[in-house]
Amino acid sequence: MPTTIRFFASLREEIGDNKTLDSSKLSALSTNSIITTADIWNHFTDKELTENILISVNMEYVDTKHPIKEGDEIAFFPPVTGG
Amino acid sequence: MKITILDAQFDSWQSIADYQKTLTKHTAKYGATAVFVGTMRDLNEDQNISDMFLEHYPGMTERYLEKILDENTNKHQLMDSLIIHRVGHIKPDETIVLVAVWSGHRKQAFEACREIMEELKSKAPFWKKETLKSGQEHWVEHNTKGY
Repeated sequence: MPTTIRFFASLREEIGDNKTLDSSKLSALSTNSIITTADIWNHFTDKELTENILISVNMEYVDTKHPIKEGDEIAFFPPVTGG
Repeated sequence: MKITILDAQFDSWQSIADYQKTLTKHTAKYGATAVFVGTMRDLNEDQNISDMFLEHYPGMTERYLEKILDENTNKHQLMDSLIIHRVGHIKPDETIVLVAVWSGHRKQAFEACREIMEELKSKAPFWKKETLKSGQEHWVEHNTKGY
């Protein structure tokens, strides 16, 4: 099952639209057995994963060390500005 | 409790009146209704704005709005609540967001309405892209302070 990576707002304009990783590409992201959200970010961009970039996995907020499993939907986005 | 994300203009006051008519189980029980309506202005940080595009994360936005209303319903003993939030292209003077709450007393209503609005602005995945009258575009990077 592919793992989906989404970027929103200004990050989408800078890094690109929705991306996927199959299981072999996902496991190749790290020499550890654990792949984190930071590993996912670093695979798609050289841009620094700064504190103000928000991360979600399966639509719940997480941090940069959150472990990823195959089939997850990971999203990266700038600070929210609704309302 | 009702949450609507809408890609079209809406009349906030009519929406409140229409929703209140459905609250028949609370008739004569709610003593307070508090409302916040956010309207798009044609000015932001001294720049003239002609248009705004409001993006959201379908699925996560609704989830977080529901969490915000659930938590505040429990905390403030709300009888009911309503959020309507625009997405897509919005013009100056159009409503962006409506928050309305119904409770027994004014303390709960005032506090809940304020807290719902502040939590929406800090947690709900929406992002605004403004178009200036010059034609330039930029993403709004931070909210104005609420407190």
